Amino acid sequence: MKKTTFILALPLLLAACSSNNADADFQKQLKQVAELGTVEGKINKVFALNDEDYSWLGNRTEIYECKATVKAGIDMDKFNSEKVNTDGDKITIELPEPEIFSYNITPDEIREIFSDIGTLRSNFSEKEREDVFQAAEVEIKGDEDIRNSILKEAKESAKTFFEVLLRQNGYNTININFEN
Amino acid sequence: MTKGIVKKVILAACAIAIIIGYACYAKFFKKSTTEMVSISQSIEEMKKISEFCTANYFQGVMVMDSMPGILLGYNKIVMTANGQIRAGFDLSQMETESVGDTLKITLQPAKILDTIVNPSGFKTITESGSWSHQRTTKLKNKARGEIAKLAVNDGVLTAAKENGIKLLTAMFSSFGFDNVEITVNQKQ
Repeated sequence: MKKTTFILALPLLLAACSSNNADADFQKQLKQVAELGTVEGKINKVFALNDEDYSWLGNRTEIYECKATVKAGIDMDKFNSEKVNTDGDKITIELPEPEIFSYNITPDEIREIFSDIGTLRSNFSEKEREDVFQAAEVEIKGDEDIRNSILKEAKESAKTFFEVLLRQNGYNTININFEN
Repeated sequence: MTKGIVKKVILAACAIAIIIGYACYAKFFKKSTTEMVSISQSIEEMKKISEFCTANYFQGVMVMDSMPGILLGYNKIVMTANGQIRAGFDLSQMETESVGDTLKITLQPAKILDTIVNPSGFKTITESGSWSHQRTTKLKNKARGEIAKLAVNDGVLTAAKENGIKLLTAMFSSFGFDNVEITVNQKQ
C-alpha cells in the first residue's frame, strides 16, 4: 500500500522539484524618479556566435547586428535649488553632471544577418544565444568611448534645453554651469 | 586477394562508422563552447530629446511557447523576463506662458517612454527542440508587451503624472516663478 502511494505521488514530487519557483518570484517595484533625458544615442554592434569545437565536422557560426538605444541627461533629483541665483532678468543655475539613464536593446533590434551551420552540426540553442547576447550587452555598456561621447552630448543638449526654456520665460542673461 | 579487399572494406566501414558516431555524439550530446566574437561597435546616430521620466516600474513575467516535435509530443521553451518601464512626459511638446510672476505650463499626457528588457533580463528556464531566433524574438516581444500592460494596470502613468507635476512645480519655483500652474491635457 505504502509502495503504491509512493509510486503514485512520485510524478507530483518530481514536478514540484522541477518547477523553478525562485525564478517565478518577481519583484514588482514602482519608483519615483526625475530623469531629464536630453540625448538619445543609437549604438550599432555586429558580433558573431562562434563555435570552434569540432570545426572539422562543419561550421557553426551566426552573425548578428544589434542596435542599442542609450538615453542620457540630468538627474533632477540631484539638482540643488539653492544653487540658483536670479537677479532681474539674469539667472545662473548649476546642474548636476549628466548621467546615462538607460540602455535599451529590444529583441527586434537583434537581427541575424548571417548563418552557417554545417549539416553535421546542431543549431544554436536559445541558451547559447542568450549567453552571447548578454556578453554583447556587457561590451556595449562597458564601452567608455561611447559613454563619454554620449555624456558630452547630453551636457550640451541640457544646456540648450534650459537656455531655451528660461529665455522663453523672461530671462535674457542665462548662465548654466555643471557641478564638478 | 578477395580476403584483402574484404578486410579493406571492413576497415573503411569501421572508419566511416566512427566518424558518423562521433558526429552524432558531438551534435546531440557533447556540449561545445560558444563564444561571442565582436566584429564592430560604433555610435550610429545621436539626437537631442527633451523627455522627463518621472516613474520607473520594474516587473518580471514568465512566457512560454510550444510547437509539435519531429517525432512525438511537443517542444517547449519557457523563459522569464525582468524588465523596466520608464514613464513620463515629452517636454518638447510642453507649452509655457508667463504672466507676471505666474507661469502657466501645459503638458501632453504622461506616456510610456521606454519598455526595457535587455538580453540580461531574459533567462531561458527550459528548452526542448530547436528554436529559431525569429520565433524566440516573438516570444520576447510578448513578454515585453505583458510587462508594459502590467505597468499601466499598476498605475505607472498616474504615478508619472503626479510626480511630474510635483517636480516641475518645484523646478520652476526655484527658477523664480512664485506661482506655477500646470495643466495636463487629457488626450494627446
